[in-house]
Amino acid sequence: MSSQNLAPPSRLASLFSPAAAIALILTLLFIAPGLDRSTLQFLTITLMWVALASSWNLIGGYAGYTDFGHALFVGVGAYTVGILLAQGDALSLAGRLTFPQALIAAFLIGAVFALVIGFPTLRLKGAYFAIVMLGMLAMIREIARNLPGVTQGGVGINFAPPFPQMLEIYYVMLIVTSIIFLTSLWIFRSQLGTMLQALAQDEIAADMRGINTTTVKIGIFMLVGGFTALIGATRAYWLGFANPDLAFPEDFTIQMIMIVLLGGLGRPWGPVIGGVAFLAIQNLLWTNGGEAHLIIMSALLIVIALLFPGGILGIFNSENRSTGSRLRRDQPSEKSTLLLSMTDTLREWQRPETTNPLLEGRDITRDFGGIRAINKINFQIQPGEIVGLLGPNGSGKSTLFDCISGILKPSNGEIFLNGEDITHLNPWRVNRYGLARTFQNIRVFEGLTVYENMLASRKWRAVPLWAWMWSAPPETRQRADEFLAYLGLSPFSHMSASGLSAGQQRLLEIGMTLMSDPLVILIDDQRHQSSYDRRHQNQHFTLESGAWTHIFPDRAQSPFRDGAVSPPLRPQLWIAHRRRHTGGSPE
Amino acid sequence: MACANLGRTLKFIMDMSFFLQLTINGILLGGFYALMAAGFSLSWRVTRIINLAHGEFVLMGAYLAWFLLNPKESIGLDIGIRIPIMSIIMVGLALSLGLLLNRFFLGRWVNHPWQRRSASYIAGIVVTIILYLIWSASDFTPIDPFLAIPLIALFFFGLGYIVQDTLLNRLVDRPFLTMLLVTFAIKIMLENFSLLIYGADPRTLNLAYGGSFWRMGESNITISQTRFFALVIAGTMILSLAILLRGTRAGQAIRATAQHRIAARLVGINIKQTYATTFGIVLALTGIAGAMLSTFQPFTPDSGSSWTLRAFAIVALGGLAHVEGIVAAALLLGLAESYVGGYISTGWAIVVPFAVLVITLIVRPPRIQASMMIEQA
Repeated sequence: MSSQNLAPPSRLASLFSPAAAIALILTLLFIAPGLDRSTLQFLTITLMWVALASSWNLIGGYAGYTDFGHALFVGVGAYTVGILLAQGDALSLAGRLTFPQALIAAFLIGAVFALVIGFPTLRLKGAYFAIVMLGMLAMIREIARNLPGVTQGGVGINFAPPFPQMLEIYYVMLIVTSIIFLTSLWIFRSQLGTMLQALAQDEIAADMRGINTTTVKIGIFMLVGGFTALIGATRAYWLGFANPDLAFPEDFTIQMIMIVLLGGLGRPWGPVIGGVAFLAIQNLLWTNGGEAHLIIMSALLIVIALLFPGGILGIFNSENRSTGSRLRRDQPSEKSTLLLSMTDTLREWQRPETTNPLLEGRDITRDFGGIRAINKINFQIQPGEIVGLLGPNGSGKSTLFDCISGILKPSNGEIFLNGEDITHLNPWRVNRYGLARTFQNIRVFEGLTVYENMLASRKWRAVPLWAWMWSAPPETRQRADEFLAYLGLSPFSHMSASGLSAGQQRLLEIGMTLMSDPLVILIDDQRHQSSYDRRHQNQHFTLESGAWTHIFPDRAQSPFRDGAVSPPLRPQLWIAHRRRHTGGSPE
Repeated sequence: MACANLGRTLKFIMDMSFFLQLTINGILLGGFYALMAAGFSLSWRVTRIINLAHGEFVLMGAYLAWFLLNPKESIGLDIGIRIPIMSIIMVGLALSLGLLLNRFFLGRWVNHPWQRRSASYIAGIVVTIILYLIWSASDFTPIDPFLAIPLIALFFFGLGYIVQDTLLNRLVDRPFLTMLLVTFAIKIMLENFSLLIYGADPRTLNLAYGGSFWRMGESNITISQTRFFALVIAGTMILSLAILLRGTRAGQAIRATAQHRIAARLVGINIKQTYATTFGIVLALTGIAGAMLSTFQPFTPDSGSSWTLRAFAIVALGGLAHVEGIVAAALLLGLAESYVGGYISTGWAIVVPFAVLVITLIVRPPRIQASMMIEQA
């Protein structure tokens, strides 16, 4: 139907394909023996920075967790190989392992460190994560200094004699860098990449779309920890020793981030381009600026951060993600024919056969400190029903939705979906049990394209972990295409969702709820908001998709207020009371 | 029998006095921490900018105090370095005086804005030059850091105003990554700047009373004089900050802006100016903290981030809402560092603030997160 939608349009795409990456790596592999020592050294340093920046990009760019203490994994890797290959016998293992074995150990220990560190810290967001990691780096460095039994304290570890040749180091670094870079390229194109981007955009919304955010971010953090430990291990092997100040270099963080930012945050080729540009600038400054080069570099960083937040790739690519006024002219022409087939499909889709209530709430209560936002709500919703949830402003409609969908935990009461108790489940799990929702303040992933938004909210239930590493299967893509066509959003498929109007974003959000193949859809919406500029189409949609159970809340007292013909809200559920104080102070 | 008993009692007394000594040291240290963190938390609360260069500004205060105490030695420095430092100090001082005159003093007499502005800045420049001439006429007498406090505060006020006005105000509506990067870049810049000028060696101030202390009665417990003065200054500064924030119009504007930027703008507060004033106050406090630091501890250009992290740990522990929380957290951190340093080792004492930071953020994030919710809204 719309095969042009399957390949993201990019003028630079052919230049930045995986084939180009492999060609680049092979070139670097085969030219090496002919190069002199200083060139090799320069290339090795460049590769190291590209690798460091690539691995930072995975957590800081893709997942949006800006890690200001990332250099701690460099130290973990350095100390792992240091302890395993040390002079003398600090450990009985020492001297028995070869360097490749030690590298593998460094990867594993880096991943374990990332698990232990990431499990508590990844619950923090934004600047707090950045700073807790900065503190973590300083803490681990000082601990390393204070444990002479393990790390030989501030003196550091000297490696045992067979010192590596420059060419050997170059090859090791090339292999490590290739692994990291190709992995990041792979992840970017896989479903995991879409998940990560969604996570970076809006974690709660990603959670609500059924993405297991905890697993995803801890998993990626472990991978990144292992990768960075590999680089640190290679670097330490090259230097021949490891001590606290050298192994845990605080200024590495800023240079990694700067490279990523220079190239393009969250793009796989960003670190490569940024790394080359960075080292070129640095060399220039070293030769001309001497000791002041870091001052000039940081001034440059301020300029980049303020004026070119998209980096070099952002300058070239900005056209693709513009507001898309150019596209808005072509409205869907194929809609009418598609609509017929789609509505048939919609009718056929799973109409649950049980007569038990599909969604049931018992005594749902939620307190915020001393304010009781909702008090003992009971409801039973049968399959096939469309239920309107009505109540005055501040009566707790959205709070009830948040409780049902798992974003808030009810203070009291139980919620059942299709017979399963979902009261204490996380949003992503609730989604996988078959409940999808929209948000009152529209929450689409604005940095993703419309099409990626749909893919990010596919049905994640029963998708095995290994499948995350591949791109979305054809049936999912087809489904996304069909829904987009049905909602009239096909022309905008490859436009950034931030370029849509509010009404279109609302439609997209409804499409995203449909993608997960839910039993129940909660549409948290003010009626006049969703009927904004596509009133006609939207109503058509809600009428025809009656196979699902919906709950609409309405801010207006009556759904019929502005004279619009509303969907058949048969049983209506009212929340009549206002907030009550139960004593105590509000949070 | 009696002998053993006596020995035990003696040991207990020794332990007790050791404990008391550590407690006193911890409180003295904590007072300094409170002053250092007060500025950090104020700029965070009002402008919502987490300043990763905070520790570098502390060190800048320390280096300024060193410069004022050792002008002769500084003259021994390379002339290419001495002249820039001197001119930076003078420009900062002149601007700061001009700003203050313009905003708070000349308004009553000179009504026309342009006239007022030029009059204030010219007055600022003239006063600065007079101060320089007096200092040079007295053959650059060393200025004691405690006496130099007004001068340091003035210089840092101007510096903060300018930094916020030209650079940090651009970060207000940006994503937090930009904010962290820009302040981190400032950190790197200042760190390398002082490395370039002063070198990597630790510096200390050779004050006449630097090593002197008071003894408590007959016991072994001592109170270092410089640390005690630093504590007094810290207390005074924090008190006057509280009075400034609660009792003056400028403080009211600052608090209103901290509560709700847009609402404050709607009632006629000049947001950018308020932010700049706030950061001026913040840096004034920070500069004083740096000068205090220089009196009792050696300092190096690369130790800045440990101060930033300490300030952060204190804010994480004490919350942003009240100055009281900051003071309590600072005392707690000072005591913890002192006890760990006394009973375990000084090496582990360095770990304490980082561990406090990490553990507090992990174990008890909500209080600090609540302020983040406001940021997002």
